[in-house]
Amino acid sequence: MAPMSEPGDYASESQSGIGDLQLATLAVLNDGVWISEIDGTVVYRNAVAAAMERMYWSTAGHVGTLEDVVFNAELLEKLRARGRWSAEFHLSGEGAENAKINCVAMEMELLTDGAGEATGIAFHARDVSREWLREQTLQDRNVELEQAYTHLKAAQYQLLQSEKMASIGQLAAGVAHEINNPIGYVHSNLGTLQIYMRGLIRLLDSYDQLACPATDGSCLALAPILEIKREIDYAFMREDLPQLLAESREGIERVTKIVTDLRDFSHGGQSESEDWTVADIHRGLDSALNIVWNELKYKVEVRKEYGVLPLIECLPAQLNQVFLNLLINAGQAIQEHGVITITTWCGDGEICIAFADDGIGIAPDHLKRIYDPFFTTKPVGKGTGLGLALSYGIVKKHHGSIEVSSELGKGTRFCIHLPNSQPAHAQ
Amino acid sequence: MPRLMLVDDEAHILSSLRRALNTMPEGTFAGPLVVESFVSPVQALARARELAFDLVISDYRMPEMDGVTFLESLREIQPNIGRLILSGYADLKALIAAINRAQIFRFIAKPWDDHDLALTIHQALEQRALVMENARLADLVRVQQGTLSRNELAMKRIEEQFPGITQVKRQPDGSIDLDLGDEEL
Repeated sequence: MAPMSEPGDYASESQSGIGDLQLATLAVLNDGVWISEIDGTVVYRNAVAAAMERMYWSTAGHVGTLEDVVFNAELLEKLRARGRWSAEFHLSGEGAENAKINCVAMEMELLTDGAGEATGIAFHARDVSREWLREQTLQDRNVELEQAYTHLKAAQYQLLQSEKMASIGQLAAGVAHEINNPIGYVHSNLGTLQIYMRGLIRLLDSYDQLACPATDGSCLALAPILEIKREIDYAFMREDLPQLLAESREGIERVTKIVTDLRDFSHGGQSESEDWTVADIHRGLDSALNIVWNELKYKVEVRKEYGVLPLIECLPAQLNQVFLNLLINAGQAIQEHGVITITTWCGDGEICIAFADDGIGIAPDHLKRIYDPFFTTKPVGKGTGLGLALSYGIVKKHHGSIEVSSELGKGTRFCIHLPNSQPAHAQ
Repeated sequence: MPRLMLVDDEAHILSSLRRALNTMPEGTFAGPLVVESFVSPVQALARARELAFDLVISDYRMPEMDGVTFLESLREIQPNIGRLILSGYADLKALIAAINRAQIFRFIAKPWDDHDLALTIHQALEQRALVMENARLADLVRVQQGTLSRNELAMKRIEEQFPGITQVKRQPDGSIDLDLGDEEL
């Protein structure tokens, strides 16, 4: 670059070909203007340009003075080749704060004489800090909004899920109470009926013995009795009655179990009587394993890959319920023979417990619904569809999360994240 | 013959309880049970003013009054009556009230198991018998020591059988009020 000349000072009018009026106009412009020889030697600069020259210029990570960044050989070569060129530069350093200029749009153009011969270059730096700032803010906002939207979507899903749970829970508590009355007397009556029936059968048997010698039809008085017996298939009835009653009682007991589950579900387990304590998760896992061991031992190999875990603040009995549910599910997913792997590890302020099985897996369209109350693919009588819903509620209560990944035929993996400690007063 | 009072707003519960208790093997309780059942706790209270019962089994949720309030009122009439609550509704608040206010012997959840229920009734009756026996013996000693007259003892006995019979109520003009408890109906 040529030796610095004072603002407004220009080498010669003939060199740049600019008139006085034009110069005066350039001088009052709010933009930086340089006029240079074709080799980049500046012949004119206005006051704004001079101020800009004292700052550091940067583009694409390259920082330096005006000469380094803009008036360098490479750029000038490009400009001479193309005729015009524009780029954005960031300004920093002394004066940048005062002038509040931190971004300029620089337009460079070859100046030509009447014959089309290049005689010089005009540089025009327009302050676009405001636009740039606005754009920057917009971009930041956009990112924020996108994040907020993602969060909102996740939160909405959670809310929907927990609202569904809450309303089902309230409904369940009310229904459970209403159902318990009829169940109460039906259950009791069936028991009494069993006793009545045994008495009646004893009575009928003894009548039968009395009538037995006369089955040949010799006694006319017995004929209508024999007829009725045949008509109602008494022999079968007598055999079937005890079984019928036993099955009915079993049915009622099953309803009772469901109602109890429902009530637990609405309370999220017997939460009222349980306190938050600091407990060892491995002990809970082992005790849950002990309970289901009888169902698992013939077909399942259980691998325990326990890491080192801190004691965590939790409701141990409820977490055990979760472990139990997941283990039962894993066991039921395995049909012939398989492996259940329980892995625990310690994360950032949280612990993780994963239950993986190599069973039948969950179909993708079922996967979305597994936490829905009453959703079950198990055969009638094997599951109430509340196990995972209940587990979900318990994990949520611990401010944790539960994730599932599954592939049909390959197996399923549930992963529970639990914070080491609960937020104060959240209990 | 132990006297048992059943209170539940659901009549089917009452009849199934009766059946279950009737079919219990002989000797389950100290003698055959005499059972009276009420769908209304108010009527049950009125009856309790006429006759002493050994044991009451009450529902918790009833439209007229809840089981705890009912048992509290009943205890004022018959302080030594054995009290059980049989309910399908068992939140912690109800349980605490049942124990602290109504001072029940047991809380039985619906649906109940007939044999468990019979066992509970048996135990409640046994405990009640012990309390009564204890009071009787203490009274006997008091009579022997002369701190209680035979007359007073007899009054107490009758009062135990027929609550309120010894407490004659008088009208403001001094005449005897015979409509005992009727206004409560």
